[in-house]
Amino acid sequence: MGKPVLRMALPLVWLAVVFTCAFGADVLPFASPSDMDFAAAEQGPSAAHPLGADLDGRDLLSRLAHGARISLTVSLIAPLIGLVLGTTLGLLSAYYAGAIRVTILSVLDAMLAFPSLVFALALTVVLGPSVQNVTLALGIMSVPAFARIARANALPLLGREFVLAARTAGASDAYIMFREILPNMAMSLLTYALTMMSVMIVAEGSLSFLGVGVPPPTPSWGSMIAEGRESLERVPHVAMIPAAAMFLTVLSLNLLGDSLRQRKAGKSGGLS
Amino acid sequence: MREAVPMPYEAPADTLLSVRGLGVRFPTPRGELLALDGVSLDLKRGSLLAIVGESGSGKSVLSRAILRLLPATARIAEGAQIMFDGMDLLQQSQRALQKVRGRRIAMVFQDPMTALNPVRTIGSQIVEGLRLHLGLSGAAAKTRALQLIDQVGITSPEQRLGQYPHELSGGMRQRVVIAMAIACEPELLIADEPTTALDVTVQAEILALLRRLQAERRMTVILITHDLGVAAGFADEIAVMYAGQVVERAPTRSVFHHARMPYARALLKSIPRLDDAPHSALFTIAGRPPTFYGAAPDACRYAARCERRVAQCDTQQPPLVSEETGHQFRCWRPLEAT
Repeated sequence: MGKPVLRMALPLVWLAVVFTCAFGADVLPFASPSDMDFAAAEQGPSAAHPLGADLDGRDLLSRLAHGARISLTVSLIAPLIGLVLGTTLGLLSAYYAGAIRVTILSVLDAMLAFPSLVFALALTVVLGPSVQNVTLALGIMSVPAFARIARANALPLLGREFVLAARTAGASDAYIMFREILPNMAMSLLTYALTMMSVMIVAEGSLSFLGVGVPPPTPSWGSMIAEGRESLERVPHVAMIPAAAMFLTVLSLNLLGDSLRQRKAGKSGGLS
Repeated sequence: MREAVPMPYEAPADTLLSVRGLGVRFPTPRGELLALDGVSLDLKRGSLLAIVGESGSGKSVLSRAILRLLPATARIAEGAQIMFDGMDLLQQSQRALQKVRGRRIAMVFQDPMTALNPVRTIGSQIVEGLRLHLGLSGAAAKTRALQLIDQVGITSPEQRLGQYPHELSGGMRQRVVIAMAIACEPELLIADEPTTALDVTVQAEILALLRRLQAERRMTVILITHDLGVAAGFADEIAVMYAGQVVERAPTRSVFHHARMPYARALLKSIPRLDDAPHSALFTIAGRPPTFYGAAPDACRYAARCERRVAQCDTQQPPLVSEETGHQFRCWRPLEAT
């Protein structure tokens, strides 16, 4: 793991496999994720079921691939919601003084003080469990963190001379926020978004595990682990295989985020 | 023979910028800092004025005030006027000002490294102003940007457009900043210490460039500098600022040869000269420029450091008087015009 190439390459290979399985789940020669083959129930890997079958005899590989769709959808869209809303709020609260700043910061502080999983739990209970609502809940949950990062990055940038120069050139407030400030903090925000992707996979898993995530029979990694939990002593692979998939995906995202951060640090060190 | 400049003042017809009674105060924990006090200044179209002063004399505050870019806490004196081509900039809305800034009045900053956005290409930064103010399309703006880069003396313009500020040298960066400033053919260019952050040889090139552009485009230029040498080589007229006031204003030759206000003369004497004897002591003005909090004192600002001080200097502020030649100064006991 010491070599930088490996630290980038291995996670990328794993993520490519996950993405291919997720997008090609219907095209690739997988068994149906919902057909029950009772003869194979609780069996380990075999020719018919490469990763074995779950308690009801459903093909684990196929369910993993279909579950990856849910995990990837949530982990891509939820940070995106946080990124867009959070960055906008963070920029506004950094740029404008007075009522706008006070309002935004109070709302963000209140959200931060609220246990995030409980918030997501409450929201999905109220709105009903579906992929969209889980994504929305997790996305809103990540807004304060993005806003804080955006604000912290924007504040020192606002005092820089190129902002004054832009103003002397007749730039509007919106132009200064989104064309002068935003590009300067894009890298920090994107690396954080990458980290948030892995957090979101785990969060979605937790919600599904608790039964308020994506409703069955749609497979998701979290609900697969929850199902396998009952027979963990007898047939550990039913819970362990989705757990391993989640672990590797989260690890890959984190390693990728780290190497991006290091690259950024090296580059900006040379810049200023 | 001489008379005080009257306050309700009719500026001559070819005046581009006319500042009247401009005072600026900044609230500080020690009281209101008096940054500018009764500054009045007229600028003819196509003229080159250098504003000279020590740090803290208010020259940068003046340039920011003209563009209405002072911090929100700054208080501008009542009755002040900044007339630009018949429009009082102090009465304009922010929206109206955005159409003036960059389009009709442009600015060049001291440090070209910090005045350029580090993560955007040179091209995108030049093009943006052209699209914003002149409404050019992408392709037209790019063509214009290439011309501009060429005009400010940068080689291989095509390649430069795609580069980032950190890939260029200091002199190149300042040329880019100048290209951005002149992009929309402004009538007034304010250059705030444009050469201070550069090597001496590069300084001369940049000043020559500014002069050439000024002549080609009949631009009006205000050069703000603390360097009298730079001012002398560049400007038609010099205004000397001290403690927030214009204390002397005259054609460059008159300031150098017939300075009337003792501060201006002392400033000139403190420039080291090549024909000075080696190791001779440099002339310095004793003391430091004063800073005023609260009410403006009714006294000459320079009195405490002046060799020619008389009782009146401490009890009454000298007005800005104007001689027939156009030479203006604030002094009760001016040096003789020789």
